[in-house]
Amino acid sequence: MSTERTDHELLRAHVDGDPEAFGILFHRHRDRLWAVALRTMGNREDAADGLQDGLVAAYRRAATFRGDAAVTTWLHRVVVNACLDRIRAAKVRRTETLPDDLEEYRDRGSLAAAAPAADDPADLSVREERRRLVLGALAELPAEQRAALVLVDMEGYPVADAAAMLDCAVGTVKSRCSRGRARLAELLAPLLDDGSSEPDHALPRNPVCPGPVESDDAPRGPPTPA
Amino acid sequence: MSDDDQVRRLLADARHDEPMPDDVAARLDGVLADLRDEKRPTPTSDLAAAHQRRRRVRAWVLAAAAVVVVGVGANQVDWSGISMSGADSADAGAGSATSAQEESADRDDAASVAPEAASAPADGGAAWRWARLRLSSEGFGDEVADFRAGNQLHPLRSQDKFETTDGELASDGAAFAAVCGLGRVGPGRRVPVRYDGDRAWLVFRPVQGDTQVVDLYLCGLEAPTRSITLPAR
Repeated sequence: MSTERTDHELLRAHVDGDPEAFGILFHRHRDRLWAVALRTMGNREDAADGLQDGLVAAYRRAATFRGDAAVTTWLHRVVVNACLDRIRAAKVRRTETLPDDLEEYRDRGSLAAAAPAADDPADLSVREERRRLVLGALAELPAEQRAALVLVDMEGYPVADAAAMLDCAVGTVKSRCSRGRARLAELLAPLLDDGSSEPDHALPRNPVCPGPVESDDAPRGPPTPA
Repeated sequence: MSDDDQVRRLLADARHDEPMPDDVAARLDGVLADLRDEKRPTPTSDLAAAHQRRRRVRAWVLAAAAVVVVGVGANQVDWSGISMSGADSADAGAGSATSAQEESADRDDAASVAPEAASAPADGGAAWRWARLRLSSEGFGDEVADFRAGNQLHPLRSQDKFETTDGELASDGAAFAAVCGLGRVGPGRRVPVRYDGDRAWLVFRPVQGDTQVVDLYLCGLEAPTRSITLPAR
């Protein structure tokens, strides 16, 4: 039988003055919180700042936790809100964002282990490029849409949980996800049209017409007798 | 497969599934330790607490030894003459007389690095500075002067466009500001510090003629607790 304290017990112990309880709780969930912060903020420096803001807020506001949701949901809510606050404060749309972990993945054996079909360096390169494009497109979205997609489509949380984390209605999360996916579908069209195609080779499309097809000339009337 | 499904699949593939990087983990451990110390009623003179802190400091230094000194070198912080507070000084005191340049060169001497610096990442970003400057009420004037000299703060001229704005504060000192509010204190370059162990801000005022005023504000106060006038360089 495990003697490990539950999240609720740890949070309660922290509120009651146990100096180590919050640290144990945070360590338990920090990797996933980091993933959410990283994907929401788009780069590791801002993610670390946002996560730190959330950590400080959660530590100090622990007594306000009502216990009507999972502790991890509450932690995510605090961290995501801290990240969104930071984005709003900076009023930055990070269009240039590239994943900071791309280089890390390049040399990691774990990637090969996780994707045995991608042993071929060419396949790995395609995966990395696709990943880069996806994260770049994700960075184009408004922060609220991005946060919803990170929680639902990346982290796999149920919409109801994501709504609790984002402190909004379930319908709002669905709407944000839907609009976000629609926008991503536009931005990532070359990847969607042919999933196996190389991402930098866009499918041929009809060229954009440089001007109106209609003639600017006034329509000719019926022939007039000479 | 619909576009919607394909997008979801692409997003799932782009999920970040690696653990938190060591330098970030060390930094957040430091923040947690700060929060614990803030909450703990035990005085710093308590030997058990001091021992625990020293052990923690060593752990931070070991955990982030590879990234610490790069950040210190990039920030050009001069620790000479700047005291370390409480129990930490026993560990870090050996390096307190070294110059910033010596510290940069002596990258293997982790013991000479201030404990807070252990959480600094390799990129040395300003946002990672977490009040590494320790000031004491006894040596305030000399310590501020030493810091200004060592940190190569370019003196602000009265006609300069002030670099420290609310916007900069949001990105530079936001983490510190989250736990140490600073009211409307006027123009100047703001540096988060510890003053006799308490969080505070130093505000380096624009140079006026041959002098530069430096004010110290404890958290939440709008009137300076200490002030010193330094000769302009």
